[in-house]
Amino acid sequence: MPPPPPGTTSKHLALQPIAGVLAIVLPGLGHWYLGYPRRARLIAAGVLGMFVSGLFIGGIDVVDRREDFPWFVGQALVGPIAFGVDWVHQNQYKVRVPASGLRSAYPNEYRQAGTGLPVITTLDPATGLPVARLTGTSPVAGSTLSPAWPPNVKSLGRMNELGTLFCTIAGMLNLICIVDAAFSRRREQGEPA
Amino acid sequence: MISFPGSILTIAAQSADKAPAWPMPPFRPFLDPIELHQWWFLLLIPMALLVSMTYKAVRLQTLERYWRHVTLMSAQIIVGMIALGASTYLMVFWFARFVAERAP
Repeated sequence: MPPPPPGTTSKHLALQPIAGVLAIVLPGLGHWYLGYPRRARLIAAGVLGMFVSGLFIGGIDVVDRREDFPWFVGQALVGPIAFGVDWVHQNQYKVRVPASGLRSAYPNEYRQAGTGLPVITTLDPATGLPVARLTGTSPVAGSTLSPAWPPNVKSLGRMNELGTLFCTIAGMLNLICIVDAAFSRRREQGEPA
Repeated sequence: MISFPGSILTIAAQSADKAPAWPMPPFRPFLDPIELHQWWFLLLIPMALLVSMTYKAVRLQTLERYWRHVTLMSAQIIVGMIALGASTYLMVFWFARFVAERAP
């Protein structure tokens, strides 16, 4: 059912499945489809701003489907962006341990590109920076890398709590927006929003 | 900060102080957490603002006085959280202690 154009009267709850799906795909997109571009921009700024702020506060570690599944349920409501961030986190930043699978790298570990295997680093006595000796069958195997930092720093304490909370609240807020877009009941007098 | 001599947390904290520091990488935005542990409560301000922005964008019938409503709601959240924190503080550090001292 196409959305009523701005300026028309609609007093009943009109199910807008396309707007609901679009709101799931990208925060604000459902309202943009319904003809409320300013409202859509504000929703996108609020939800995505909250999600990006959470990532900035706690690092990519705050979106983790495997280690923090209950929180990820809330974060997933942001849409495919949350799944994308989680995929990048799992596949590009976690180290692959044959015995136990994926886990965050320790501060003294370097993630070897390609295989994802962890390499224990040692401190260079001259510079005080961590050094990794790469292994495996790649052309760079046997070479030494310095500084060999871990792919990301696991957030702890308040920063982890608040970063996770920001991202989860973003999902909760987007749920409100999805419901609002899917069951459009506003605009009795029409408005250019 | 309250310390409990001999507790596992105190021993762990003392051990961490004695351990050699491992170098940390330079800050990489969105990969590493920010260092705001001492000022974590300031994050309530952007949180309140962003919550208000989204909620009012959905809730308001018209967006004519949008930023006024957002500012008001943000202030209400911040004042409410401060009031909740203060009341919890009074409950735990004053009222509970007051009751405990008078318990038979």
